[in-house]
Amino acid sequence: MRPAEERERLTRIQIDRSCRQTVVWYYASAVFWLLVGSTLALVASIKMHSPEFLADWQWLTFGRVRPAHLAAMIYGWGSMAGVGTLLWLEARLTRNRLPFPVLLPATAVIWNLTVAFGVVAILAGYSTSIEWIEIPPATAVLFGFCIAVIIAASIRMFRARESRHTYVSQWYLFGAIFWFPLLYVSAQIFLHTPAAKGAVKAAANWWFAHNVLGLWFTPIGLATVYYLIPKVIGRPVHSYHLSLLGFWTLAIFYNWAGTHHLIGGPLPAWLITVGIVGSVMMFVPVVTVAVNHHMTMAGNFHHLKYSPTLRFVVYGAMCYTAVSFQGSLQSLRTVNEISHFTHYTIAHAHLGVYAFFTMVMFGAMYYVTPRLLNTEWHSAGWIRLHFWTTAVGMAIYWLGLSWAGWEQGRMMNDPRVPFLDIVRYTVPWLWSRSVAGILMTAGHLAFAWLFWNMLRQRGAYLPGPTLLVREPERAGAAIGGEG
Amino acid sequence: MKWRPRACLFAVTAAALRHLTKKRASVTPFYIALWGLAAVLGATAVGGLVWSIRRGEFDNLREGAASIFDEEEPVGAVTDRFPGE
Repeated sequence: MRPAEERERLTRIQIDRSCRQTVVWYYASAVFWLLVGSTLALVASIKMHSPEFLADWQWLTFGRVRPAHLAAMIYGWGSMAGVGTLLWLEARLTRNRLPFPVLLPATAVIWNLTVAFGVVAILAGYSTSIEWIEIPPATAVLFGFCIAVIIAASIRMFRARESRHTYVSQWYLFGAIFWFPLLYVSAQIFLHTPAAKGAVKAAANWWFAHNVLGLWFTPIGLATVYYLIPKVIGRPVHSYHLSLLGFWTLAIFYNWAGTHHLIGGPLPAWLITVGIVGSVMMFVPVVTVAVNHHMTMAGNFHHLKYSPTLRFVVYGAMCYTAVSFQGSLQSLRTVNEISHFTHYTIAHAHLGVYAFFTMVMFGAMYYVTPRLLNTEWHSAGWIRLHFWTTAVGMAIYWLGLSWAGWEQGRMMNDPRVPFLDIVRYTVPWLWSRSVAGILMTAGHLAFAWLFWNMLRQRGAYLPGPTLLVREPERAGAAIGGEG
Repeated sequence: MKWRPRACLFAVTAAALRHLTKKRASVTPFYIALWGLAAVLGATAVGGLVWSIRRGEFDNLREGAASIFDEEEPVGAVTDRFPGE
C-alpha cells in the first residue's frame, strides 16, 4: 500500500471510530423504534377491517394507536436513523472526526426519552390531535437541545473541512439540519399558542407536516443516495450540474407545497393555489434527480445482485421519483377531488416515508454499521429476507390502497352510492394492507436480528474500514461522470 | 420614461401590503407570517447559492463530483457486497 493510500485509510479509520458511539446509539435506537412503530401500525391496520380487535382497552383504540405509530416512526425510527446517517456522512464528507464525544451520544439518550414520553403520552390520551405533531409540546425543549448540539457539530466539522469543494450531499444535509429547527419551532408557536386560531391552524399544520417530509427526510435521503450510489459502484454521479440544480430547485420550491393538503378546505383560494404551483414546480428537481440517478446507474445495474446497500438505496431512489410525480399530480384540484380523504393518500404517504426514505436508511445502515464496528453482517440470507419482505410488502401496500382509495373517492363523489357500500368495498383491500404490514414487520424483525448480531459482533472481523473488494472489480468497473 | 427599479419595488410592496391588510384583519397577519417564514426558508437557499458562487464552488464540477473518492477508495472501486460472497 502506498503512503498516501495508507494515510487515507488511517484517516478513514479514525473518522469512523469517532462516529462509532454516537451513530451506533442512534442506529440501535432507530431499530428499536422501528419495531415499536411496526407493532402499533399492525394493531391500527387490523382495527381498520376488524374493529373489535383489542377494542376493550382504551389506550389501544385506533385514535391513540395510529398517532402513536406515527410518532414512533417519524421521531423515533426515521429521525434517529436520519441523524445517525447525517452525522456519519458529514464526518466523511468533511474528513473530520465527529466532535462532542460525550454530548452527541447524550443527545441520543435524550431523544429516546423524549420519543418514549411522547408515545406513552399519546397512548394515555394526551395527544395534541394535530397530525405529525401529536407529541405534547412540553417535549419541544428537549428536541430543541438535541438539534442545537447536532447543528453545532455540523458547523464545527464544516468549518474544519479538508476539501475546498462542498459536495452535493453536504448541501442537502445542511438544508435538513437548518430547515427542520425553523419548521419545528414555527409549528410549535403557531399550533400551541394563540398565534393562530381555527381553520388557519390547519394551514400551519400542513405547512409543517408536508415540510417534515420534504425538508427533513427528503434532503437526508437524497444526500445518502448521492453519496452511496457513486461510492458503492465506484463511479462519480452522472451529471454534477443536474445534482446541484436539483438541490436548489428543491430548496426554493418545496416549502410552498404544503397547503395542497387543504384543497377544498375553508382557506383562501390563492393560498391553496400557491401550494399547487409549488407542487407542480417540484417536477423540476424530481426530473433532475431521477435522470441523474438512472444515468449514474446505467451499465451498473448488475451490482444490485451483489450489494445489499445498493439494492435498498436504488429501490428507495426509484420510489422517490414515483412518489414525487404522484404528489405533484395529486396536488391538482381535478385529481385531488377524487383522492382526498381516501386510502389513496395513505398509500402515497407510505410511498414517501417508507418506500423512499426508510429503504434508503436501511441501505445506509447496511453500509455504515460494518465500518463503525469493523464487523461484517453475519448472514447474507437474512439481508435478502429483509429486502424481499419489505420490498414486496410495500408494493402490496401501495397497490392495494391506491386502487381501493381511488375507487373509494369515485364512489364518495357519487351521491347514489350508499356510504356503507363504500366501506364494505374497501374491506378486502384493508386486509391486503394488514398482509403487507405483516410482511414488512417480518422484514423489520429480520433486520433487528441482523443488527443485534452486529452489536454482538457475531459476523466476520473486518481488518479495515472498506468491505471486501475483489481486485478484478476495481480494474474492471465502469468509470464515468461528465462532471 | 426613465426606469426606476427602487420606486417600482416600493410601489408594488406598498400596494401588496395595502391589499393584504385591508380585509380579514384577524387572519391576514397569520398568512403573512406563514409565508414570511416560507420566504425565509427560500432565502436561506438563495443565500447559500450566492455564497457558493462567490466561493467558486461551480468552477470545477468534474473535480467536485469526484471529491468523495480518494486514494484508498478510488473511482472504479466497488465498496459493498453481501457478506461472505
